[in-house]
Amino acid sequence: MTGQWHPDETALAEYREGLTGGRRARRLAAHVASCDHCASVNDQLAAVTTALASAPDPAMPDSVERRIMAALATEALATEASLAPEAPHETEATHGTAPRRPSGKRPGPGGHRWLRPAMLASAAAACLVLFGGVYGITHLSSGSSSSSAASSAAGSAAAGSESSPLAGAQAPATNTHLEPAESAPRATFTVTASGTSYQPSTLAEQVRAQLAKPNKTGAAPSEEAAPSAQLTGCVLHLTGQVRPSLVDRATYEGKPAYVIAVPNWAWVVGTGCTASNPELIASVGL
Amino acid sequence: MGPEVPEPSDAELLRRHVAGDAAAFGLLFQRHKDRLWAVALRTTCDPDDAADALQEAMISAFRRAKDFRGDSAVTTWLHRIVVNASLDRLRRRPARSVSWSGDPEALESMLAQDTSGGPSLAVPSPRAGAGLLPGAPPADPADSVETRLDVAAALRLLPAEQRAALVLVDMLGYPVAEVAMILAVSEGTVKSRCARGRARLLPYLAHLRGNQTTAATVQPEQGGRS
Repeated sequence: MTGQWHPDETALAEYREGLTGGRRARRLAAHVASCDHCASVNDQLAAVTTALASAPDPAMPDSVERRIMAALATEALATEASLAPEAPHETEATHGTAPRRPSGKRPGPGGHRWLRPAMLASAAAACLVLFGGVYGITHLSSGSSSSSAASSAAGSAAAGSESSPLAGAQAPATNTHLEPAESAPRATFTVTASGTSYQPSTLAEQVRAQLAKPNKTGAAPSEEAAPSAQLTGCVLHLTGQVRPSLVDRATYEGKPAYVIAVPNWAWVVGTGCTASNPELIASVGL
Repeated sequence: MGPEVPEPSDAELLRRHVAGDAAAFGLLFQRHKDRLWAVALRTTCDPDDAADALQEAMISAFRRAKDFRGDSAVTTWLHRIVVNASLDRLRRRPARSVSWSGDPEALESMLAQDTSGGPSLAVPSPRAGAGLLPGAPPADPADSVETRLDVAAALRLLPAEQRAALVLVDMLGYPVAEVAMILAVSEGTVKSRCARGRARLLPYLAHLRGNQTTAATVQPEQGGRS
């Protein structure tokens, strides 16, 4: 076949797609029919498609799914806030509310993201539960030694509390001053002091590490204490009356703070946190 | 959830979202997340970029849902937003264009170093040239480079637009007409990008085929999978 014409792979591939017309197409067809080499290339082009089609579709990692669901929850919060009748005013409680990689940008123009802490906190808890209905409760990290959010949420509901988290989810923007109902049993938790120096860029990882520690409510070396009524009110307000997986008295950016977590969300609040004024510093999806 | 209660359609979920149903968009995302992830991951070739692109896309879709006019399927609209976000992310990423001498070992070394999945490895076709070439029959392209790249690594050798087209048509099996809508180009452009992409990948992927299942004869009409 020396001296014969041979189309290159691109020409053959375009011909296979019907992109070659007229005389040139007829010439290619005649050539391929009589040239073993080009017939082989033609087969190989089909094999490329077969190889691509047979590559297994990658499943979305749970971490990505959690992150995007949290981002959508945050977006829903922003939408709710922008629709609220009262004009939100500026606070410093926006840091970290968008659960993104540290190097990432905020999801978008953030002019409407300034939220009052209480509104943000209660809406965050509400959204957490609300999205949990379709997502979070069935997609929890199993590494936590604490009860899962499913059991936490179930426990809260089973405790006969009338302040079901779902009730708060109906109108989160109006519950800005939600106090734990007096008839609601107080969920019990202990306060650890892990000594962790939490940082904005690693907050989620650090919280996950704390959640993964075994026996953190038992024989952990850190000091533990029963929470004050003020702290209990703050914590339960943030979590929507769900027992927290972690309440850690530590530092955030070098300043004393409480880090409060349920299995798929964490908050950082000031040490003066109360139910009516959570002093929210940051929050992040886990 | 019984059979007598049909799942809401994608369009219905989007309508509920626009009407204020806070759970509707999450359900829509959950329903299509794996396909959207595949598009983002295959297009960007990097899990971190894919996650960023997909998150941006979902936030964008969340906000723009009210502008959806229903002139395409909801999935087509979502795919379009994800592909655009993925391509945007590649454009914003610092260029990591690297030329390749043609030495298979150098290529493997280059790919191994480029762990973050550079999109613009400028690997020339093992046999340059276009159209009909005179001369002796070339070596079998599948044998001319002994590199054995898996699909993910091979995809990184393509220009982003070719890769996006091939991912949608060959990997995910979407009809050419739908891919044309997703990419906002003509069907001919989709076919052209796919053809060039397949030709470029031939030396790396043809060996992955199983038994010879394809016909040896060439028919123009059989080329497209639309």
